[in-house]
Amino acid sequence: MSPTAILVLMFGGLTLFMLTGLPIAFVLGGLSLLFTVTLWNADAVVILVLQIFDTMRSEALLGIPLYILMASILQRSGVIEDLYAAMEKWFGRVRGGLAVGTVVICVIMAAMTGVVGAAVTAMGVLALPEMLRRRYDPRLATGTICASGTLGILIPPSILTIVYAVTAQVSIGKMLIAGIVPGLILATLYIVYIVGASYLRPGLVPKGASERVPLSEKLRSLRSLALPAILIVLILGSIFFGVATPTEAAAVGVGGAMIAAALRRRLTFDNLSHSAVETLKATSMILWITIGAKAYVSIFTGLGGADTLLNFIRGLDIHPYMVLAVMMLILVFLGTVLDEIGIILLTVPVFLPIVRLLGFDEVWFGVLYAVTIQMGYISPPFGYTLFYIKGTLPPHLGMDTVYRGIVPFFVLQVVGLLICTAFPGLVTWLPRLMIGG
Amino acid sequence: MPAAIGFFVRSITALNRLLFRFAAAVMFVIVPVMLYEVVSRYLFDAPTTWGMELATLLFGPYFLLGGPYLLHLRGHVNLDIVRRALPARWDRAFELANQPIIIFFCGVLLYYSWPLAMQAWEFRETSFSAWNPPVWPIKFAIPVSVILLATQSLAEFLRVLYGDPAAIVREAPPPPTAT
Repeated sequence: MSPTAILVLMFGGLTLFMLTGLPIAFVLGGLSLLFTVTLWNADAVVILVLQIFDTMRSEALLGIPLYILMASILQRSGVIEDLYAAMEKWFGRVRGGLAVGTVVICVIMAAMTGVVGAAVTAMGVLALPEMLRRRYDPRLATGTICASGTLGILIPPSILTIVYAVTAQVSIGKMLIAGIVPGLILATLYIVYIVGASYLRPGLVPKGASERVPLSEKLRSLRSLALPAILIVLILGSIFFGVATPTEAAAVGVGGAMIAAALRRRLTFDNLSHSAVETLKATSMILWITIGAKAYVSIFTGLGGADTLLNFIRGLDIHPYMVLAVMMLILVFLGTVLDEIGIILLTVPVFLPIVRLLGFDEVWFGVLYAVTIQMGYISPPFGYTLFYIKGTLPPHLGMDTVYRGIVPFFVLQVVGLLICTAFPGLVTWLPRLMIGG
Repeated sequence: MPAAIGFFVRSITALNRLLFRFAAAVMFVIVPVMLYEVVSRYLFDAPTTWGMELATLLFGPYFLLGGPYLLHLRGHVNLDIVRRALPARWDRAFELANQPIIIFFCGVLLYYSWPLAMQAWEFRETSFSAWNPPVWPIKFAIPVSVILLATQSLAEFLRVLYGDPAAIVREAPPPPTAT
């Protein structure tokens, strides 16, 4: 059988078994190994096992459970509640202020932790009821929470960025730092939209009300920012200045999160064991997919799939930006049906050679990737954030409200993606300033 | 379900649950070790030879041993659009077709990883770093965890086959809030 025929057969099998609900890790791993030992070269499995040994001792990937553990401990530490209380004091009286404040908190949480779930769940529990009580439009409220929560993907540290950087074999530090400016651009877009909409469409948010909060109380509430600020400076600072590796920074972050929890008397055995279990669940899921994806990549490249694809694109003779646009559309489409980590592990090995062929910057491409992955996170019906917020909705709100609320933010994501595509300098500027890198 | 099979299913699930909890706790070894390393390197300028290496050595068994019980928890992420659209009786057929693929995947990995692990044991392989710890135990993590995963998969297969009502999960658990 010709290599192309085997690949076509394999893709058919992958799609079929993906649809039967077999976990992605084993769809990829099981079918790739089946085709490897029966139709290709069984010795390639030895290489795969050696690659798994490398994965098992990867310092970069060790960062994943550490950042997840940090987020999980922080989520139970009460830090977020304090941040929220401060935000309400500062933004509560401004028109649309609670929504804007939610974006701001999500940016802070994104810079503290690398995960999405913690921010969305926390804001769903804290900000959503308060916004609804003050008669914010439920669509605006839920859309804001879902979209801002996904900033954690772009703003470092970020689990998905680490997975991308390791798969694409680009500098993790550079990749993480590159997400800062685009992340802030997106947050600004959200805020501009919220403020604009609240003035242009009366009834979307209350006119700004409730009692004045004395300045002294406002200032006192800022104390809650101290610990997040220290954590952010420590983690981002050490990555940017090349003082410590992102993994070492993560370990320090876990230490910081424990101190934060201890200060609020939340460092209990129960909380720690819950956090540890959550961390292992997420880490194990990600890393088993990594193993499956390695099996798939080895047969895909081994059979010359990558070369065939590159020759095909060389032969197309169309503008590189067209190719880029097609890749982005594929990612957005996959984002609506497939798990994001699966998408990265499946498509990066296929797309990266194309990106190199076309002469694009890999870090820049990684940021575009992250923005499209974010779109996958909020797009119905399988976006992760939708699952997170579902658990926090009051009974009178249905998922259709959330779906409609997401639409304007999805459009903003497209705008953000276009901005980053049109002005690569916005993305590449900060990583260039890094020391060492 | 015959009593012997029920006993098998319960024992393997209990074993994997125990290993899962054990692995989860490993994080509280990794974190202090790394903190000690970071403090001694950056504050006292006296890096250890063993800190980072010990942490990375524990990482492999940590996530591998989490896998089998995660299968029981339905925690390995999957695509369930089709499943949710189809009537419940299809689930049974899908599960019975899917579990053997997992067992096959484990079988192939076992076949190729076992000789490598045995070889490492025979040579009492070490890492050749400054600390130079033995690394052969780590190499057994792959065969051991795929054996456990295959056994758990067989247990899940038997649960579906003998009509354990809890074996089929219509509504997949929400993704862990940690991703």
